[in-house]
Amino acid sequence: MFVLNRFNLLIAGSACVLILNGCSFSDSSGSISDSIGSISDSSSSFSGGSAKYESDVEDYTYAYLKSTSGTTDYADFQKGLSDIAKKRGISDWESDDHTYKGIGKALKKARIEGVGYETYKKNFADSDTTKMKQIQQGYDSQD
Amino acid sequence: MKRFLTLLAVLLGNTANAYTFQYLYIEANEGSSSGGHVAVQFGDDVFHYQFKNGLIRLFKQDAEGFRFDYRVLQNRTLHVADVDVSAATFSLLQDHFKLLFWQQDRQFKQLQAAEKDHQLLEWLLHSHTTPPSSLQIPGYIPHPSPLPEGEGIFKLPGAGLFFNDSDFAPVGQLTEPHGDCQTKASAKSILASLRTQLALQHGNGFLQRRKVELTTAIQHLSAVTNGRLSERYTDLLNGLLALRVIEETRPLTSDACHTLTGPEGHLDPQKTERLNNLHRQLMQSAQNLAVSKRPDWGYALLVTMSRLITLQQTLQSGQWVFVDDFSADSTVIAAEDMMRFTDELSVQRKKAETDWQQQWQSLGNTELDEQHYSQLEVSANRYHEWLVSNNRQTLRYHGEQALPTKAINLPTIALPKFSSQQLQQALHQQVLDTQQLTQQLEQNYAYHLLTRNCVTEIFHTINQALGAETQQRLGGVIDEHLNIVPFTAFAMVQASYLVKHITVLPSHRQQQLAKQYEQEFPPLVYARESNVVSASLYDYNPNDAWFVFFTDDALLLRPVFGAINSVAGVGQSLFGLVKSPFDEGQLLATGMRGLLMSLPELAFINMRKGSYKFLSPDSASQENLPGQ
Repeated sequence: MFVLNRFNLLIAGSACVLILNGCSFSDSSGSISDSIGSISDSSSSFSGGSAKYESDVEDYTYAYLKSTSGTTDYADFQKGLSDIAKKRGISDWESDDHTYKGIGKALKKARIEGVGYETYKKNFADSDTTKMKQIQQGYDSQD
Repeated sequence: MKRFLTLLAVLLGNTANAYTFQYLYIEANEGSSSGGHVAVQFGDDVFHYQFKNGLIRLFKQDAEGFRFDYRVLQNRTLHVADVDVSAATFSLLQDHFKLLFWQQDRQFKQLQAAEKDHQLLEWLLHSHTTPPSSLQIPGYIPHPSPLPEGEGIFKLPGAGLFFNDSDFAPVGQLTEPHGDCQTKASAKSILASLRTQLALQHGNGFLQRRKVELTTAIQHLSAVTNGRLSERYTDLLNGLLALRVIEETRPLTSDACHTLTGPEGHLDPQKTERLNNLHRQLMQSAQNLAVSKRPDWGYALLVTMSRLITLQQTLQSGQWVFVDDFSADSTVIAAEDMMRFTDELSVQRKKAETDWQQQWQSLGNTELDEQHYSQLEVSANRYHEWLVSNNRQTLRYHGEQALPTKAINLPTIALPKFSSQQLQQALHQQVLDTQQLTQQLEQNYAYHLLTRNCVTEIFHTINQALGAETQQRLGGVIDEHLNIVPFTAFAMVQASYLVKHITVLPSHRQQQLAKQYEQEFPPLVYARESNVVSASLYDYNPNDAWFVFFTDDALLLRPVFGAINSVAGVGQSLFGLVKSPFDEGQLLATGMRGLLMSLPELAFINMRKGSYKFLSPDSASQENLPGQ
């Protein structure tokens, strides 16, 4: 009887542990996590194309603006942009106008206006007039 | 009554501009989330919390990939609750999940960078015996001490496209890899042209000036790290190597590219024109990158030059040449598995061939930009991998990169000028900073089975996003402290939120089984498919612990089947015990896991469903495709 009770307890215990263990383990690490997926995958990294890339840049920039107080570390910001672009197969993100449109959208979303906006625009674009125009386009495209 | 009125208010508010987000409950199975899992979906993005290194982190995944992973490969049934909300509520929730994801991503990257800095500082301190004056020679400098081992900690991504480790090692110590990537002529033509362009734009001594600039920047790197020393150092080194490639008109390494031979991929004038346009575009990029202020311009320049060279070779030879885009730690399928899963893998091989054909055939339709070229490169790499796997009897299955990352170990062609005292001080400060960062992360994200798991965090995030308006906007508030189990939490979502519709997406095996029941004599199907021995819908997956009976469609017999599965688990454990001196106890651990997974079945709780290792969306039925 005692043995049977202990057995029931074991079953109940293991059931509880398993039921409560409701979380996936992330096995992603290093470069594998950046990989496109298995060889069977249908290029999911490229799904959504440029629009998805622009949206990622917007979200990343918005989060960066929201969590940065004081001076913006532009080199650190650019490294983050490189990571996003890398996953989408873009090495020269500076020549991709979606990068700057995404930044412009994020500035609007973060409700940055006036002198603050002009400063960010100039710094993100490194004073390049074409890039500043693209940021403005992204900014104006948002309601 | 009050609840009814709230729901009515939410309903009326939402119908004006109704949006839907999905709450997903994923059923239990053997594996990482054995008790089930939960996630939320906004549009194409799925957000879910996963356990990693003792912490619970928010992950973002595209919906198609997420559903394929859980529903097909992990063979779990998904329950999807469509929750109706207003456009404003949808935005608030979606924006909050996104914000949290990117903020967390940045925090974890900071920790990763701090760990790299620590290793670099330790190594520099340890090897601080060589006089600084000898550290500036642009060539080989013997390593004063071995570089620390680690997962890509001291690697230069991209540099491996043009350099081998043997280029920086004493003669005879390392052998060069073998391959048939011969790009001497193309490299000479492209890089000479790039060098001329740079000289025209920035003067004759441009390359030399830039190299001095980079070497000086390395020597004057600040030991006060702020989590950026290692990153800054490797970026500058990559810049130096990229310039050296141009200066020496260096070809790609012999294993950095491959040719797709055969009649496929014929280049007609229209396709050639597209490639020529891309060639011009990449040449412009290379010129811009050489003077760029972005920190990692060196890596980008190495990738761009490698693609320019392969493009040039393609245009000249009329045969497709691509850079190898697999990472060094790609998952490789051994010959044994290739034999065992021949059917599944042949579907994937066919798919790779079709994808490649579609990619190059559609080349003439649209203008080719870098992103499109990356896609073409990926599909070509996949197809090529299948072609060469015939002779090699192995296949790199997982690990392709959208941009090539072929790396070399850190070459000590230039080192920062730090005194021992500076290094010791920096290391001391770095340890303190890392400790603080780690404590902060543990405080915010430490996993706890009962109080902070993937279920609690989803509700916590939802409640945080909507604050005091949660009730008004969703129709109810779910207390994250009281809802910790995936199964019961889903019932709570149905009861509390304004759920418009519930969809059950059966697991891959269940869906195939339903078809067989329609087409064949049901008792026969049941008898055949109930166990792994005679099942036609399941081939043993080595990732699954041993079991005999599937228990997801056997409610009454579940305890009996569970008992037999438990015996299988005991059997595998005993076999594993005997084998443990040879496999470090891996089989024993799998057997124990199998036993643990089978015990709940004695109490009518289903666990064992089996999983699939090599299914592709094409080998799953049309209805079973992700997103359906």
